Amino acid sequence: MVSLNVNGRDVDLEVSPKMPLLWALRDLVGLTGTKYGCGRALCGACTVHIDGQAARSCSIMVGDAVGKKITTIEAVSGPVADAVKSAWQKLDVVQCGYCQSGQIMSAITLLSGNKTPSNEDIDLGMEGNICRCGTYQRIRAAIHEAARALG
Amino acid sequence: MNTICRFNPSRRAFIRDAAAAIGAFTLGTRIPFGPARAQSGGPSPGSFDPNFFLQITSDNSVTLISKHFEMGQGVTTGLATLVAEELDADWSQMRFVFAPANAAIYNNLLVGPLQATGGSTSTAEAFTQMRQVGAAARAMFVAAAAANWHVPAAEVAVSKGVVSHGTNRATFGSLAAAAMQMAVPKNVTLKEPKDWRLIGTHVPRLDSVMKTTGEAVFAIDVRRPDMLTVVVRRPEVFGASVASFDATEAKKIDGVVEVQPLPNGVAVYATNTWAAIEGRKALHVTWDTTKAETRSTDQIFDAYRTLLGQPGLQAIKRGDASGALGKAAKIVDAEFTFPYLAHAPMEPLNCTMELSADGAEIWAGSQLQTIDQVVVAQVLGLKPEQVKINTLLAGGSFGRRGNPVGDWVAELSFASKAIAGRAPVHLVWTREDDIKGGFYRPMVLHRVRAGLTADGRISGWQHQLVSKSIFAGTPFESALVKNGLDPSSVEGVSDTDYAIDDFDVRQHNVTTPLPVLWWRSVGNSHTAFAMETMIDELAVLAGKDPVAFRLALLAHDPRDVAVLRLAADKSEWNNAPAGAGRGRGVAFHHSFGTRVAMVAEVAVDGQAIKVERIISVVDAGVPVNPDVIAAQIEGSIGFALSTVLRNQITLRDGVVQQSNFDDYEPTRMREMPKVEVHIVNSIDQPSGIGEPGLPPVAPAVGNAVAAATGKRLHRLPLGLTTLAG
Amino acid sequence: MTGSRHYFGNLAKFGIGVGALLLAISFAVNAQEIKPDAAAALAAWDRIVGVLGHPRCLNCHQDRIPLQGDMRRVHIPLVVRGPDNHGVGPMRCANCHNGSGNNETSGAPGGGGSGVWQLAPPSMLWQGLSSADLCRSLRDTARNGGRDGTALVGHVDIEPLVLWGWNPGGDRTAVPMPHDEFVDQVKTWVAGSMACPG
Repeated sequence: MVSLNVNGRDVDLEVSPKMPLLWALRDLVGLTGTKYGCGRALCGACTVHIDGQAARSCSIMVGDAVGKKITTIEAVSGPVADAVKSAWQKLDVVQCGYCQSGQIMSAITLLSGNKTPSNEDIDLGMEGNICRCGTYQRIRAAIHEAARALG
Repeated sequence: MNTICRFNPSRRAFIRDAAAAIGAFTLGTRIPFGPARAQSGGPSPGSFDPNFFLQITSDNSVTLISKHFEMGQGVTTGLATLVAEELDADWSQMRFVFAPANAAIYNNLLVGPLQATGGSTSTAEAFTQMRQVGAAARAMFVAAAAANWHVPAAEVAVSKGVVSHGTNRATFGSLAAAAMQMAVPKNVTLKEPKDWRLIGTHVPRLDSVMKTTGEAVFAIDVRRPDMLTVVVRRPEVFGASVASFDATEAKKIDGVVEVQPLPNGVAVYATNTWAAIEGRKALHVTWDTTKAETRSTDQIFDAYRTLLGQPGLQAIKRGDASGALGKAAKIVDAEFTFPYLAHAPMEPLNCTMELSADGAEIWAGSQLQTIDQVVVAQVLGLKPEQVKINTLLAGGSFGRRGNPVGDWVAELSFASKAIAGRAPVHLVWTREDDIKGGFYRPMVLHRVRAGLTADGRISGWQHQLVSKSIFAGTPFESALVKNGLDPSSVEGVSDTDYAIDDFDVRQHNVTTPLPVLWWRSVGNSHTAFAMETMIDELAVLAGKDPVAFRLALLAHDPRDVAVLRLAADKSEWNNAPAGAGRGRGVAFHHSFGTRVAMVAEVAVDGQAIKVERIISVVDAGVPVNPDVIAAQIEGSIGFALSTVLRNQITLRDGVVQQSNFDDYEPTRMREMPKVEVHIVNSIDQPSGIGEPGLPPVAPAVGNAVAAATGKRLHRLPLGLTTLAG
Repeated sequence: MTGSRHYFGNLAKFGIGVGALLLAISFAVNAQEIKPDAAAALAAWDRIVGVLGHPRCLNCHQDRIPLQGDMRRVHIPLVVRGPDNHGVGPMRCANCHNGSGNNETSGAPGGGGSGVWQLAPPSMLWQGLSSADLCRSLRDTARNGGRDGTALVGHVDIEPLVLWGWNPGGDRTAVPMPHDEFVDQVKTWVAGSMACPG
């Protein structure tokens, strides 16, 4: 039995502690906003927050997430999250949108730790989030916009 | 379908033949339009009955029933813009849902009778129809209001979703029930471009909010009660089949409930995705590889080369290329090679089915709904109208989800049938399945010989292409492939805009069990590189400026000239970049009706290429949503760049050597150049934008590398490896 | 493992005693005389350096960017050291690498407990060092985390990230020398005053 805290709720799962958190969230807890893109921590589509810090749920085993606060795109909140989502919408960042849950979760962590990221900071921070539709230029602009809005 | 780059009356033949080849399409309960009128220069007329295309409810939302599928290209925003313009709706009222499968009502008017999204045809085919829908609905609201208020219809005004006359005001929502009962007008008048309020402006995308909150539902997110998730073990080599399998260990994995053979592999059914994946790892399968492709990439290219010099299929011949080459003062002779490429959309293939005695219901990111319907029906022994397709948002496609042979929905059907539909089946491809799964952009070889006169004009051009046909063996074959020649194999060469008088293009088909498919921009994905690299090389050999050399060859087409001139202007082409290892390259390509020029600026450091900036100019006719156009150009660059720098699918003894995003690595944020997009403000019919931005990327970068290093590269990926920065 | 710690404890006492005796003797004899335990230490070092250069060790004893796999490719996705050796922003090591151990589903190696996975500190940069330089680096308390001989042996004996090299998961080759043999080599080297070549 694995007990997780997801978006503020406690959830008990009868699963192996080695199950990837991603599949627990998507298939057992019913939260499909976090996406599967590669399963090998290469693409970032599965990014959630664990204790407020970006983590790749395809690579985190549920056993390692016990006793920690897991937050998914559906519930992430706060001034940084709001600024990021608003900037994303204002600049029409999305195309297919499939990578964007992960992009946003990573961007929130980036800005939470660095209020005025340089382009190089953005490159390094967002390196792990792939976008096949090529929205990178707008992601970068949206991060700068969110930083500006947060003052 | 993807061969369209001009509108022309011969399109009618394609429509008839494709329909016959595919079989009957589903008829809806209303068939409001008569036989298609032959029309030169545009799509056939379609129904504009708002009842099929709009839902307007009392909450005042105006929902577009979109016949086109949204894979990120912005089509739902585009169609909604057209409707809202003529309807005089407020943009904030607009929503969208996807239409059911129905080739009669939701026909792609350029390629139908098919419900199909692709070939960069959506805006072109729906431009008039969607405006007519909006105008018809507006007229019906006016009629309803006029009746309510007992006033002449001609005096009723509509603005931003509010209908008014004097002090009378009513929202769409309040009038909707009455309006949709009104007679659909037989004719409608559309606004003049000067009166457009929405078309040509930046309206927020309709899918932006849902895709930033986790609310957007993709097909992979579908959950049905008691659903089983299925992954399929497919052979490592294409054309192999299952000889035997042992599921003993697989069935011991917690969550695995079933293992069944399918025609193309072995399916593992489980109560969650991880269990299915782990179960599949524990499967033991032996394969019959007697009919499989077991060659390696180098061997395949060698086999391609043996076809050169054979007569092949004549794609086009004008003048006397061989004679002109014989008289040429200088000659460029080059071989170009292009690897297999995977589509690799972020959302891997997946689909869900519920099967019963009455029929089948599917949830999928379906791009060719009515073809998928027919494929499923054939596998399951149903009539197409017994197959209900729920189209959902797709996490990218780039062509993979639009497979004329419906491989993925066929697999789903077999998987459901194998368990007699006793549970809903959610079939998922892992990323490894996707990268290794075939249906790639074909492997292609070009051999080009072009000559120059002493004063630097083209004197003869012989071009041979070798590849597997995309359409042969598919329902589109009879309509598109003529005398063995698949036009998508040569598009971008045989129909080049360049005024080459003595021109001979031949194509050689190869066969292989490895399946191929259109990949964003199809033939243009390799032909533009060959053409633009040759043209550039000839320009340099002739001692002429690459832009001026091209302008002279395009002089007959003012729209081509305008685009290229603007690109030169915006990139300050005449100011050479400073510094060693720096260079600029230009490329121009006309595909899917759209003209694009790009100037790329690169810095080369040893083996590393850094693309720093790309200036792009695009003429796509009337720009319905300029910001979406810009996004598609930016996105084409982001998508294409990794194929320019490094991506390839290679075979060793028939086994694909790549498996995931580490050895088939897409473009990363830090590699993205600064992109500037300039859109020609046109009043011509809108053409496509999903694909045309892609073909010029590789040659613009390749030509820039040549300028920076003096090294001319005749292959993709360019071969100076990896990324810089 | 316990036995060798016990053995080490006794050896340490013995070694210190012997060392002190030898030191005393060395003042009394010709300084150029080669001590037998130094020769053994050099031989042990020769074997130790092969382990340190193995991908399982060297991949994380890098300057700025870890390497991956037996093919030692640059880490994909690209990650960098950051101010605390644990990466930067959304790309911190523990964001993918589990504290509990290797993840055979994602392929990400792990271990050491929650949040432990990291690049070795910059002082322990080994990439590009010659055997002699590496030897001197390892025994330099300014660069080896302030460890004396005892602590060095303890480090290779029980440090989780070191032990991981022998249980790396996936298709990564483990360190070719058995772990307890490696510990013995380090003890021999320490006992021989951590003699270095050249």
